[in-house]
Amino acid sequence: MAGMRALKIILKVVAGLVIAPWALIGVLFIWWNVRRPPSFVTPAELKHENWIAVAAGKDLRTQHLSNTDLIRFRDSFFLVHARTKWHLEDRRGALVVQRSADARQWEEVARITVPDTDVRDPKFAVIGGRLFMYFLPNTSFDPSPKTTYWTVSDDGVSWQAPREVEGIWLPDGKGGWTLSRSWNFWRPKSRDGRTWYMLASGPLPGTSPRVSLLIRSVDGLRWEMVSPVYTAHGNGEPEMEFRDDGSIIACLRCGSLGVPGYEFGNPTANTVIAVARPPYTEWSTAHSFITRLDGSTMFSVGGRMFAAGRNHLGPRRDLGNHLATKRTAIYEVRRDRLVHLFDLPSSGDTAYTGVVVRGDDIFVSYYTPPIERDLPWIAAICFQPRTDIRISRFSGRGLLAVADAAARAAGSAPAPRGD
Amino acid sequence: MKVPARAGRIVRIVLSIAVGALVIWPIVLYARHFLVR
Repeated sequence: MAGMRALKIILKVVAGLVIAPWALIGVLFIWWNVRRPPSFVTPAELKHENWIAVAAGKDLRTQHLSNTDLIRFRDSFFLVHARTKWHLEDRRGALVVQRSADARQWEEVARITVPDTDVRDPKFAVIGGRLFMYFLPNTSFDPSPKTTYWTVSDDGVSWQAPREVEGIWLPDGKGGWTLSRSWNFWRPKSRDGRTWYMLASGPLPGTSPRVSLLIRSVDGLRWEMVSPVYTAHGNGEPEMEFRDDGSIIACLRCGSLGVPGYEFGNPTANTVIAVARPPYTEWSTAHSFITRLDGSTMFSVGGRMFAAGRNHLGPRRDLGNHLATKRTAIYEVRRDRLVHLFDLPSSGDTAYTGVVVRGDDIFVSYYTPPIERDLPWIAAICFQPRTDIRISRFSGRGLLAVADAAARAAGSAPAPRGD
Repeated sequence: MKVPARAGRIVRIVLSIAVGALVIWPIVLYARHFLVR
């Protein structure tokens, strides 16, 4: 009898140890679903408007809309976003191209797919009068793309069959070039419309960490390396923009400065800010620890540099914690630091932005779970992954005023043009 | 105070259902995505 009683106690303890964590997760889900989100009030001078561009709907197969980019082409706005069942691998997912005259009413005009392959992170560029799209195929359950596909369209509606890029041509050290594969392309930019520059992330031959390179092309097809941007620690999702003086400033997502930790955050997660003057072979770098700027887009207003990307909330010691809430936010990008200006209505799994600057109007596309709740990142990844595509529009002059006010509040001078 | 056996049984059943729902809810939220194609 005593043996049976002991066995029963052991079984109860084991059952409790198994059930308790799941019950705790259940309690957390209740809390995450009932806690109130912030009001997302922004300064009046921004004249900020925000609306749903593409609603997710309730079909489990297509409820996760993500990874946006936005561009003007042939007098219309073009928006591209991923449409999948969740954030993780979805081999039946698609990239959806939408067109609009006013960025409010959108018409689906094309779907880009690769058979039996998860596709994500699309980026637009108008090269040679044609609309190019670069995107990343993924073959891992926990996404980890390792190459880039491209397609092109004359009108934004009819697209060529996607193909893999040939890779990046690297100097072979003997005066020639050698082809390197496994590179993730990000967003091409050009100052003169003839030579295109882009940052790409991947492993240099013979090494394993994914680092960022500056590459260039004149046709959008053959890309050659200009210089490595930052190779000290692994980084990715590298975004760049030209400054008025012709130099390039870049923001790189850097998960760690060699300290272990990812799922529950990392105290050294940061954004690498890199600057190079023509011919873009020498880079100076700084680290901003206020966020790890995931899925960003950089843009220039009045000669000053800004970025729309992910704001990781919570203590800096565990920056990037999967249980933490994230926002899509607007930052001023200075040579040595990021300055947080304001959050857009967002929560959970969010950002991966696109930006169009048109006159004084700045349009920012991004994705977010419904903003009536305040979900953490992990909940929106694979438990409640319904997300909408939203667009914010605000004033460029208002943005400069808000940036000036932020500088004054920090006791520093507003950034001069080109800082 | 002695809790009547019937009331105690009801409390245990209600608690079991509540804890069971807490445990099952996140599992269902996650697993349902494997059922759709």
